[in-house]
Amino acid sequence: MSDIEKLKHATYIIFHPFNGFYEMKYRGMGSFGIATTLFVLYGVMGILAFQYTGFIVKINPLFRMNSISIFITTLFPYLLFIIGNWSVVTLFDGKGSLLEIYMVICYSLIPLIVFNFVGLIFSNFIILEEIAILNFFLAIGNIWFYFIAFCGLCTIHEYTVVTNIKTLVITSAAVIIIIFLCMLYYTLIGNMVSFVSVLMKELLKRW
Amino acid sequence: MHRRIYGIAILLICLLIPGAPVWGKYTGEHNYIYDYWGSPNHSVAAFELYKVIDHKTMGSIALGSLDDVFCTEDSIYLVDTVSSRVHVLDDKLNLLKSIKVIRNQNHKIVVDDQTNQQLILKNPEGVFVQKESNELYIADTGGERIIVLDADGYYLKRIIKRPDNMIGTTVFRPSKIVVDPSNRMYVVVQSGSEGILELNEDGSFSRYFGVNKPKVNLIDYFWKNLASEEQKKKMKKTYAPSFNNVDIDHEGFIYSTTFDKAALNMVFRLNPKGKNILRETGYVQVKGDIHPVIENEFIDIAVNDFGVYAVLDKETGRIFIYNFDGDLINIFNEKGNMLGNVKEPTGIAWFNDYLIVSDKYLKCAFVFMPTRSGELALKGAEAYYRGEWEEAGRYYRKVIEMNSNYDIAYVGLGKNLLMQDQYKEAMYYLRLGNNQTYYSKAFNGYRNEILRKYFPLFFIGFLTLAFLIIKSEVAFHKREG
Repeated sequence: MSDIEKLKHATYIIFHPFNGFYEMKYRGMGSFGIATTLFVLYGVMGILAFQYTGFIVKINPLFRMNSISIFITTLFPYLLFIIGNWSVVTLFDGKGSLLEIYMVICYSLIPLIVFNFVGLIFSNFIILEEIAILNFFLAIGNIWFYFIAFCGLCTIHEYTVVTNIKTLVITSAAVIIIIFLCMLYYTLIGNMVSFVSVLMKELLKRW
Repeated sequence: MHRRIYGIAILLICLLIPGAPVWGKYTGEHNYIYDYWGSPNHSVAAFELYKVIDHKTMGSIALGSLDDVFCTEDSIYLVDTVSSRVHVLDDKLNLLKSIKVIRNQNHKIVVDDQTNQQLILKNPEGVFVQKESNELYIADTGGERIIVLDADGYYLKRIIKRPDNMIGTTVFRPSKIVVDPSNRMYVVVQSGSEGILELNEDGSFSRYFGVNKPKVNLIDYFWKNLASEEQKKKMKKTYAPSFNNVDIDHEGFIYSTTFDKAALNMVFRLNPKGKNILRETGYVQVKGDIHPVIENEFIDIAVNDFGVYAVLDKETGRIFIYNFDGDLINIFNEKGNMLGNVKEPTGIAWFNDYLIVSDKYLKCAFVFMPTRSGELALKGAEAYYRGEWEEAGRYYRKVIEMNSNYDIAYVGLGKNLLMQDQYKEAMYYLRLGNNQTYYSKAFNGYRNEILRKYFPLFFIGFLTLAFLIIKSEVAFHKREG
């Protein structure tokens, strides 16, 4: 399977998600490289959107722009979902591996990237009254993304629609738990660090 | 070689000499303004100290405090609560008259028939001059009455005591007073929760005026909904926050302030129905500092002929100047020890373009004069208020040259350019002022201009595209058969 064929398969996936993801899973038509490129591209899109979205659509504080933090905050929800979904489906007889979930999400990002990019260009040529049209256009990309991602997850986990919805609901709960644990961990570490530093200060003042 | 070593040595020694700070003359000022993002930016001083009114101005009369200040076009009225006096000054800041004992038209001291005592002011807190009828109203707080004098002869015209038909629990201790052109009196009673007292021309009670909505706590609301009638009786009642000061603009609208922590708004422009109709279209809300270290407590408000109002903060001593739309013009002054700084500010008033601030602790009043940039900003605001766009645009352009942080000038100038159909320049300024609505309008014009200019090009492009599509379709169908 050459790289060019794999690239062609990416365009096939967005129009035929069930077939496409099936072939990705069982016939090795997917590529980790392409998936990661798309993922990074989506993060870059986040940065571009922050900087180049038209002034009429959104005023962003460019003077305190931090592209790295935008990159991370754009991609973080998706990573969180991937981990949350994987941790749920392992308990629910899902056949998909962590890598496969990752690739499904990344391939599904294609319409989102394309529509956001075109929308970004358009946003510089519209006036306030035409924002509704732009939002409609962006909504197409969003719905497309959700549809493909849903189909993809159904295919790789070999789920019915109902089971998939169930796992998605549980995934959202799992995501909340993950965030909670993260916060707990960081506050605890923070407390630990401050405790040790206070202790050191005390000791230094004694001797 | 040696020379080089000496040179380096001298350089190193020179580095040890501490730098000498250089202080300019008026650099003690801390003027600032909030921008679109709500962050405070330095601003060029809009006002500077012009003169001080203190015991030297008053001659032999001792000042106990200064609690309120009111100005007409040519005279200044200062209220001294502690020594129960009202001082009248002319526009050159010379003392004209100091009122304590009230006299009648024949220059005889007025004697009360019942108590057989002289009529003397008793801790007055507010003063107002009605231009139409030329009457001086003194809110004689300690005496629980309003004394009306002639504004020129200072003789007694009438005394307004607690109206017989007054209802409610508010005690009639008038603290601040304004009178509208049709002689209705609006009287503020400190910590009265029923609103501003409105009295008719003859001194009879009309109504309580002004709605001051309290903040609603969601948890309290929840428990109050659950509670039974008996439980509700035991709960703490939420009273409407009280107004603490008033002013009136040339249209007869009442401006008011409150420093009650429970209040939803802090500055009010009340319509005849008593509803707050203050315009707040600025970058930030009309509430003083955005993220205050010390919560602002507005103690007085002064509004001028073109809707520019200054509010005085008791806690920090700052003066916030807003234009009619609620855009910040400048923030200046503070509590401190330098001349012009306040300790316990009590009142503020516009004296034409000058601002007068009274201070209770320092027993003086400061007269602030607009600087060149402040004057231009005020003139711009006036022209804008009166609808003279061209002139406003000219003033704004000059202000920007002096104060590039005065963001509303960019918007004003942009709007002006938009009206002249100079779209590209308008876009530039509106973008600097972060105004999306008007930027969109300017961009619309600009886009139409471009489309019209290159219309043939667009048209040809469109035709070519359509032709190519049709051609390929035809070719496709031929191939398919």
